[in-house]
Amino acid sequence: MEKMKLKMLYSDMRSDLDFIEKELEIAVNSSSDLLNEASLHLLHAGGKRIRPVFVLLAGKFGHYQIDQMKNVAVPLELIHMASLVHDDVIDDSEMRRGKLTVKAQWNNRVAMYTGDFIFARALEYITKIQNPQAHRILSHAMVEICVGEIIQIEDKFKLDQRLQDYFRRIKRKTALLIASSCELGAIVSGADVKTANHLKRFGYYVGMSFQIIDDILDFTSSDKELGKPAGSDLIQGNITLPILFLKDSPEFRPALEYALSGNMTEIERLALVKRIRESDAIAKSKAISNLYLQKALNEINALPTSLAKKSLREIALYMGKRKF
Amino acid sequence: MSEKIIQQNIEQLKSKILMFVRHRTLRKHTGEPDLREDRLFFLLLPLLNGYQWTDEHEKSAISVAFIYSALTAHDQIKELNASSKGQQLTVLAGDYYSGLYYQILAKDSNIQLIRSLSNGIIDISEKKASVYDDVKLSFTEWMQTIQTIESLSIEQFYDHYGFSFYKTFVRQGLLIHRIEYELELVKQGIGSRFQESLTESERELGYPQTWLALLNQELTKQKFKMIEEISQSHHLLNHSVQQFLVDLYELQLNEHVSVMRER
Repeated sequence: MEKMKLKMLYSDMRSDLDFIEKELEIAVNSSSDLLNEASLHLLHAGGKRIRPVFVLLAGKFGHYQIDQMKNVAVPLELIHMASLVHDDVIDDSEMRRGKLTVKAQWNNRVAMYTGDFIFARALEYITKIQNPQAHRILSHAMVEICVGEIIQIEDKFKLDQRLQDYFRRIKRKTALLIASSCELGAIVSGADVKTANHLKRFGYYVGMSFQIIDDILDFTSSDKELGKPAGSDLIQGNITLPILFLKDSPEFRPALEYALSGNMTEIERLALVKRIRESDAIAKSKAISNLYLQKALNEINALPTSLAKKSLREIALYMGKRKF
Repeated sequence: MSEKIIQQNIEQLKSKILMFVRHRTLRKHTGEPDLREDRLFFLLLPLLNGYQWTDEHEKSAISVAFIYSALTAHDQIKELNASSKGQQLTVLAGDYYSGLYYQILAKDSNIQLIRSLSNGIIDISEKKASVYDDVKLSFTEWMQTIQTIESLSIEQFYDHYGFSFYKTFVRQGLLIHRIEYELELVKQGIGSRFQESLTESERELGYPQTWLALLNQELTKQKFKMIEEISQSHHLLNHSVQQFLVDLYELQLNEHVSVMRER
């Protein structure tokens, strides 16, 4: 159902997105059978492709040419893919989107080389763009994303952290690359600076909202919907927004500390997830996600009326309300 | 230029590289990036031989050093269990160094070099993956594979700035280093994926001798070739640089001289 909705939202861009999908397949082509197989395994596992979508939609505010836009849309998705392969090693994840991860299907080292390969392909691809500003934006985002992940590891298993720490972390982890997707789409299509800045901020706010929803869904979705056990974030020590709302509650604190100890059984995990799901932390987190969503919508209100503006609005709203 | 000055240049480059890595957590858990002296020496080879060395050359050399740091970090990830904090941060350290390589060149608008280095990383990753890919290669092909993995990024740096005539030195030097490393592992009774691949290829294709014997011969051959190159390189390498190379790879010049006399 959710996938259907997403498909409908993308319908205006269907042919261009199909083109990007084919380009992604071409881009991950390798002379190594192993890297070829691992990259395609990852690519075919699917994904929302929100970064290419935002690149293309942002490009509609300038002189849109798909042959030019692909030079940003493809590498941004590749960078995202490369980071996922490495994240699965870091998180020791066996499953992603219901399929075995590269590290589970082969091993950690193959996952490292696959990520390095895809990342290099992304950079090779984006050098078709000669605008130095585009490279500065993207390289800055990439370094910041890594710093964000490093901080995330440092903050793992620490219940006593501030909301501010969480927001700073998700900004780097997710919002920055979505903001860059929007900004780069605008810049490469030659949109004016004011428009590019609105789109960049739109991407940032949508990214923040998106990540909060993602963190909520880790508790509210079923294992099947997630393709991994619900509550995985908490078990892996990642303290997300719903937990930050519960950490000082005497009812929850001991259970959360116990969950972080790594000794929880399956039954206990399901029971804790159920309690979190029924707590007010979910509604509070959703309210914050909605605040970011509203800020995102305010940014695009300033843009000229167009089909792309309508699509950005609809996709942002969908992402704010999605179920998985 | 004396060998002492060469050493100082290497140390200075190392300090400049470390200035880019100011991240406290990263350094605390993963240490400093791997900045092997021989690689830095080869990156500085044009400068050490008196060629014009601009700010752009230096930044590009730093970028290439970060590529090596990135790829080396990822080589340290264990095949089956990388869940410790140190391993997790090593994955990220590699990604961070990759980001820095791109950022330094992007700030310099050096898009062409980003392109050729990325192209090289693709090749290197493919070659690194080959030890997991059940490929069977001749001994010579394995040596070529290792040579690409070890020296391609520096070769591309040379090509980009018109110093291609130094490629032969880096190719031989870094191959010698890798062979010595593998032989040392054998001596200590430690296996490696590369050794397993050699064993499987030897079994499947039937090498004329054991891969270990071939590896020892290859080391001698490469050292000899290096001596030969050095002895013919007065127009390319100054005396101190030649001596530095001789010391770095513990080359036996007397042996070479006697070989040359026999010829």
